[in-house]
Order: sequence, then structure tokens, then C-alpha cells
Amino acid sequence: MKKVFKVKEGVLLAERNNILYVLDVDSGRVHEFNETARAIFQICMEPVSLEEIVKEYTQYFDIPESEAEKDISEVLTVMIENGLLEDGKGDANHH
Amino acid sequence: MTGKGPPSLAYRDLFSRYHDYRRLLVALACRLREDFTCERVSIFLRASGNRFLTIVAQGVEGMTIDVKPGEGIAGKALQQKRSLIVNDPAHDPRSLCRVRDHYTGFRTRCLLAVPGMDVWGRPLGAFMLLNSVKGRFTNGERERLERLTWMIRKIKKIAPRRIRNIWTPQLEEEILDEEGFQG
Repeated sequence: MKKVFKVKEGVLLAERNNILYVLDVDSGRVHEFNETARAIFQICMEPVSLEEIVKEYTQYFDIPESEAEKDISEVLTVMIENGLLEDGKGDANHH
Repeated sequence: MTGKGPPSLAYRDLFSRYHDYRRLLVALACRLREDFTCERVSIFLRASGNRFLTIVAQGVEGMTIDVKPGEGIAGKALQQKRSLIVNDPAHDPRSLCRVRDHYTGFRTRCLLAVPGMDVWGRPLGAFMLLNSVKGRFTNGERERLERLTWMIRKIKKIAPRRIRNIWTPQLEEEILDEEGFQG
């Protein structure tokens, strides 16, 4: 089974000046997401594998996969460290 | 479309025939959907706290969508006071459609958002059309919808103070039967 990523339940969202603010209701913390992180956050609204995140992300910004992987890795690490993703194994969505 | 006469007259006809604002709004949404051959129509109106709420959102029962200026495509159209066509919102960095689709269960493939302003140029609300049956919205459709934003001013005048999404499948079914629109 592939490792999949999904945004946890219990977050509230607001957008202002192109920054996405994500309130984690459990921890009470507010996270600010720039355009890059916002795209990755949205892709992870449904369970997705790393390969699918890369594929979707390159369509957002029209960049090579190698560059996308670097951005995605950094953002996913921060999101996992802050408890915003449920990471596990399972069936990813196939769009 | 199955309307009588030119499109604008067909919309004016609905305002003169429907005196219940809930039925009027659903009839307007159904006519817009048929006229622009799309899957869904939402109408946003300004509420307190500089928020914009859906007063009708086809396919979304019991949920009122709330946007602030700048949020998502509808919010950006309202903030920038200009119409926006997005023909691949799932991969557009300005869009939040994946978030909305997650909560509504819908899949947005393309959208057209057109704001309506009051006489001082302040945004009063917006039309949002989702998923053109042809696959994408055109500038011609944008211009045609912009010519219908007079309806937002009329809707604002008759809307209750407390805005909420009044759409239900039962109400839509009744209107479709009465008007002979396509479902």
C-alpha cells in the first residue's frame, strides 16, 4: 500500500491578500500558507499519494517534477510537524 | 433556451410573475443555468461584516457558502470588481475550489464569476456559474452575464436581512415543472 496524505478534519480556513489562514481547532494554532503551500494543502483535501501530489502540483505551476518535489517535500514536512496531515497507508484518489 | 423573447426580457418576466422571493430566486437560477448551459448557478449577496453569502446555491442543500472579498474566485471577483473566468480551477493558484468541492461533494471543472455593483460602485453580490456543458466559459458569455447584473440590485432590494441559501431540490422541482426548464 502506498503512503497517502490527507488534511486532518477540524480545520477552519480563511483567505486574505492571497494568504490562506488555516486554524487548527484542536491545537488553537493559526497557520499562514503562501501560494505554494496553499496548492499543496488543497491537493491534500482528499487522500493522495506523493506521486499524485507531484503530478497535480506541476499542473498548478507548470514546473519540472524535480523542482516540484523539493517544494512539496518542504511543505509536507512542515504540515506533518504541525499535525495538519493525517499520514498513513491506504487508497489514494485517482482523478 | 425556452424563454419568451430576448433573454433580458425573459428574466424581467420572472421578476413580474414571482412574488415569493424564494421561488423567484430558484426560477432565476434555473433560467441562468439553462441560458448559459452550465451545471450549477450560485448567487452571492453582501451580508453584514463585509461577507458575501449564497442566497441560492443549486445542488447545495442546507449549507450557506460564505466568502470574504479576496477569498477564492468569487471573492476575488468581488474584491477586484471584475468578472473572472477560470477554466481549470483545480489547478489555478487563485482558486479554493478543491476546498469547497471537498465539503459540497461537487467537482468544479470551470467557472464564471461576475460581480454586480451598486450605483456607487460597491459590490452588492455576484453570479457564479459552474461547469459549462461545453467545457469552458467564453468572453462572450462573460459579457452577456455582465449585462444581467441589474438583477443583483433587484435581488438585494427584496432579500431578507438574514441571508441564507434557500435552495432545496423540492423547490427546484416545482419551478422546473412550472417553467418547463430543463433539469
